[in-house]
Amino acid sequence: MTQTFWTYRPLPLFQAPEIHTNLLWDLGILFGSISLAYFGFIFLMRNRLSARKAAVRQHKRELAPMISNFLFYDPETEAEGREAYITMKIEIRELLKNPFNRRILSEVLMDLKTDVSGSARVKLLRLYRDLGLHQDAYTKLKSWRWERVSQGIRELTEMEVEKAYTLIRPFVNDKRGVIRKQAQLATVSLREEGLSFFMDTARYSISEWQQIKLLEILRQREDYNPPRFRDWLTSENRDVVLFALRLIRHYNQNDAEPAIIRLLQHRNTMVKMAAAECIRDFRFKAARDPLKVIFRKSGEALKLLILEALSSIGDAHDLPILQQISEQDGNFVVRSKARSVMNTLVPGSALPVAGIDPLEPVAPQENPKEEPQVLQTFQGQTEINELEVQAEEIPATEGFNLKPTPSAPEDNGLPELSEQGAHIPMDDWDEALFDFCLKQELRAIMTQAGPSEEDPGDDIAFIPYIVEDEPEEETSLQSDREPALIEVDYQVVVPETGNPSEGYHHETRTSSAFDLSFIPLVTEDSAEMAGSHQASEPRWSRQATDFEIQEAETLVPAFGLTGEPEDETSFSEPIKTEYFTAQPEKTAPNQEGTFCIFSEFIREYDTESKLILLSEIPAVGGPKEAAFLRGLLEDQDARIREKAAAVLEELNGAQVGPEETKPARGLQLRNFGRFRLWRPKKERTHE
Amino acid sequence: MNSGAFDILLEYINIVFLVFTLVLFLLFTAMGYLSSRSSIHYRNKNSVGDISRIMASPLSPSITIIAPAYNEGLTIVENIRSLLSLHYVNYEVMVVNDGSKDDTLQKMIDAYDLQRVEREIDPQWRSKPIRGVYKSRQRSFSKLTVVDKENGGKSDALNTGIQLSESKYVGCIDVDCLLLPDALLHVVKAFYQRSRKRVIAVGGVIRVANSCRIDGGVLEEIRLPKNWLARFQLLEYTRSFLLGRMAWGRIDSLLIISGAFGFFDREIAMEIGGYDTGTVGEDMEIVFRMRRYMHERDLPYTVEYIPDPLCWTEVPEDLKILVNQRDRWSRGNLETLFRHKDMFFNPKFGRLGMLSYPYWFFYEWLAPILEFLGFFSILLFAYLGILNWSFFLAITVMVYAFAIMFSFYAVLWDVWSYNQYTRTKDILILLFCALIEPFTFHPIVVWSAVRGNYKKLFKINSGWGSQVRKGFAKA
Amino acid sequence: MNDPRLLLAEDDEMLASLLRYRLEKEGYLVEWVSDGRAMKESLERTLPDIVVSDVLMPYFSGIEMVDYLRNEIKSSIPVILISTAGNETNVLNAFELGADDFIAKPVSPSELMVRIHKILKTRVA
Repeated sequence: MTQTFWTYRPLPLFQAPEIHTNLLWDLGILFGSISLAYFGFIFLMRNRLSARKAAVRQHKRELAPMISNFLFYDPETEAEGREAYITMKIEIRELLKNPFNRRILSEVLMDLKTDVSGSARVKLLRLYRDLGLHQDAYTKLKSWRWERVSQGIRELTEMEVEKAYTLIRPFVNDKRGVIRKQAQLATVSLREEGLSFFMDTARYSISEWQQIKLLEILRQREDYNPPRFRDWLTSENRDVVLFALRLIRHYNQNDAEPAIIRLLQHRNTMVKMAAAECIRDFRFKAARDPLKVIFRKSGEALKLLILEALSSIGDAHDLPILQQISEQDGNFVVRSKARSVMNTLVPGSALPVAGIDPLEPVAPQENPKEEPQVLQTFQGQTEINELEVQAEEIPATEGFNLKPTPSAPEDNGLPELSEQGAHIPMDDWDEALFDFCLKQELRAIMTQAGPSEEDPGDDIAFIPYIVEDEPEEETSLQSDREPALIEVDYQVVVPETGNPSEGYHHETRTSSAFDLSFIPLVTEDSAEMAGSHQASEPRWSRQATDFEIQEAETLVPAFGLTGEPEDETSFSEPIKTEYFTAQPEKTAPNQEGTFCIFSEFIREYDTESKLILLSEIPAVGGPKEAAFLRGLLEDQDARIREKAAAVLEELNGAQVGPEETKPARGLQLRNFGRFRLWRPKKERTHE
Repeated sequence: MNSGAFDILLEYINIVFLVFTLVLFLLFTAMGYLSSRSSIHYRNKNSVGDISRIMASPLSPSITIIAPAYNEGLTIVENIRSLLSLHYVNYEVMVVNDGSKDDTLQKMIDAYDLQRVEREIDPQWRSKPIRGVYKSRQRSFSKLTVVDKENGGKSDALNTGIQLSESKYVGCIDVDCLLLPDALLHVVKAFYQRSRKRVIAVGGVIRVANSCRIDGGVLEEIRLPKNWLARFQLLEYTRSFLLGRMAWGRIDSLLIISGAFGFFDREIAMEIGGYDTGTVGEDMEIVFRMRRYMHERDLPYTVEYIPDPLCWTEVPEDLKILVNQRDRWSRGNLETLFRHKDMFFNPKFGRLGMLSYPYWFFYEWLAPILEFLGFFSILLFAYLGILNWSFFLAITVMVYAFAIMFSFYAVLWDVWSYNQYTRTKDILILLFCALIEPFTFHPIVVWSAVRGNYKKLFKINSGWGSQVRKGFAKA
Repeated sequence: MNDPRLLLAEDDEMLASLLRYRLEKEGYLVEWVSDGRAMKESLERTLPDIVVSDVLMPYFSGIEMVDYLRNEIKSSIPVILISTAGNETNVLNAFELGADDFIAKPVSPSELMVRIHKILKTRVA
């Protein structure tokens, strides 16, 4: 029986291995007997299932009258009632010596608990504890099987064994997901303070589902006095921030305006959306401009939210940008939403769209009267023709060499200055330079736009905002990270006490968007903070920059002397950098904490969007943009250059002030030295 | 017969069949293992907690259920009523009347007191023109939206719904299937329980509702179908959903979401342009494209699978309808696989390219054809007198035993997980079906698949394949 | 009036036994049924003085029961429905059909007592 399937001939290149027919028979028999075993199992299992069901039923029947008796026992009752009650108590204790009975009774009480309310429920919970059933749940907590632990936690939560709180609390950051989630629910549910504990310590990400469940527990709590959730907007756990935002919205706590507006610039879309929802509901007027700024980079859902928010906080001044959106946005829904918002703000302001070339300069004619007001809001006076200039420029689309940063939309929403600094290719030198300048100016605008206590942060993408007057920042950072997670850079700005305008330490941290293994800790001592900063590895730090600044100012001209040769040769057009590096030197002292709204955004855009942004400058920005604009005068794209020139002229025309005095050439060089942030790492290490 | 070339050919056929069978055994064993692990894990995880409280949470996302209807006049009103009574707050039922030739629309207008509303529609969106959008005047039916459009097929109707929806998630279902009241809660849970990956689609089990007692849109008693064809399909569904998709879901390589119950992240679905109207396998194709979209952008994502029996549907009891259905499935399969042929063993797509796609190619598409050819070669060999009978018998018995084992295993898990067929007789019948399936039902399936492939390939070559208008054969 | 007869229809056995115990303690003659079919049979046999029924019941829902009582056999015996939270539309339907009162789960037995008392009192008066 050693033949193959078909008669074997030794001709082919490959040959099927010979398979013994016996082997096949053996396998057949094996599979057959396994089938038989399954057959047996199926019925065995059915029997066991139904047997257990019957047993449970039987036990329930036995227990039911006892439970009823206990729950409705009235101490005022006559003697025999009391006697029956006491005998039953003894009886049930006897019954409970059987673990199966205990389990059934727990189950029964848990089931009943969801069905009854009022005094019966209170008695039921007491009965559970009186009978010592919670002890079983405690034992479960010690099990090594995750499902038993989580079951135990759930039981204790359901039966409101408040004492279990401290036992369950350590599981809140358990590495086994199911236990962790159950423990979080338990902590929040068992004690009112549990929520604060959880929000303070949560290190893992909190799924949306978990957030829904947590909120549900809070919603069911009677006379609940929620804490001020703004305190957690500064959390380093993204999901805590998100959850805090949602709770703020749910409990109508509108006391965190600046922080919420700041969170619009969070890297994560969901956080942005939650913030936008708060802004829409609480009508934070100050958020108007940040909303407009983040608009273009947003996805459809966020865009719609922003438009909704604008319709609740905006006014006629927002019409031009809405007009642009309604004409130029790629998404139909967004376009119609923009028109409807326009009509909400100023009835009749939206134009019919069909058959109208979207590139025609319709906008300026539409609301010529409003234009000056818009501009005055930000800089006092300017010329109206700015929008017309823009309209002429818009058709331009190509030939701009500022490449969009190839970034994942989600976690890299706002590209990091630090990242750019660390690995920017030399081709992008000028781009990087005016980036930095823009950041400065963006800060300026944010301080103007937001309330005065605004914390001037540099990295708009992440910095947690501190509402308290005390400029303290939570900074402690552990290093045990989960390696598989996405790493992101962010900076922590630590304003030193005493001199708010100088000496910001900017540290770049490497952390992870998801890895939240650090426990936030508020340190009051800035020296201590500095220590902890040095512990972390600064890949690129503004501290170093500050050092450079001093160096640059004392050792004029620093530029070119300390730099490495290849560093310099790689400047394709070194001269143009002078223009826009000049400005911050002048403005920095009196405009510390300002930044340019446009910097983050313009880099990512195509020419057309850039032109649009530029045309916004006189309205939103103001004189501080001058430097940035001068930088653009050297841009490779002719239209950008023209546009920048036009806007710049407009700005210059609009204001006469000390800020506009042109610095001397030497100063420019010095300044150049100051902004050489993007040197390769090895050069920096020399310092 | 003594020519060397023929012998070589035979030897190669030998090898192909051998390798094919071996890999099949290994794969199915792995599947059994994975699905069992997955089931146990799922049960442990979900024995914890009660999800019904969540339905009214302010954080729960909006869902639109899109139900395309074509000539459903007889049942549409009842079906909608059942869809409107799901346990969830933030949802909308959008019935898309796909140019029905009967009184489907009028029945809905009458029963739900509908009136036309103005809706702006993106002129860029490619689907057949919309004739009107209707909402009810009564507040109790405020969840209902009816879209009337020109006929364009199921995919086109679903696309219209996806486009008109404003919800975060869209569910594409067959209007005649029965959803359990908790269905949407499970769906939301599936979408929302991940925190690191974006869940782009959620699929679920389809259970066979033939002969079950359904009253007023409520499943009152679960019974085994009386019809033999439906019983075989029940067994087949049990195997495919409980073992197959469970296993694929476990390793995040699920490639197909049933058209009768599939939910998608609307943003992604819009990005990829919705369903492909040019294929009859749109429910598989869209998952391919969504996965590809996420893969190409390197975004962390997953497709979730809910093993709970949430969707019940009637399977065809008529042989002709069944053959047509399977014929259509295999054409859809072929079209989808062909369209995404660059994924085949493409490491760029990870497990998708290295495992799922090849599996679908070899065992869902190629297997019936091979079986068919194998059958005829056996006949040929027998005729020529070169068949090694003892070997043939042995291998047939072994393959048969394996098939039985796999089916029994599926039934075992079904009993363990749900134990829904309470009568012992029902289980015995089901097991009996497993015993006779290889000789009875299976050849029908193979034949339908071969026919579908033949039709597809032939018609592409003769150039009129696209003219066949696809109706709404009941899936 | 003798002890009032009460039909309790509730599919959760434990809850039913609890309520039954309480009701009997208060002096009602309770007949308990665990599904809709049994409820209908019981109603066909003899009408109680009051019906307390869960809305969601296998085979024959509380709402169908109200419909049956009011429209088919034209009886006006009082009906109290027990409903699960989130089933408000069902309850509204039931009121339209002529249910007298409803109580939401989780049920407070004492509250149920009070409601039953009140309804029976107004009926008698």
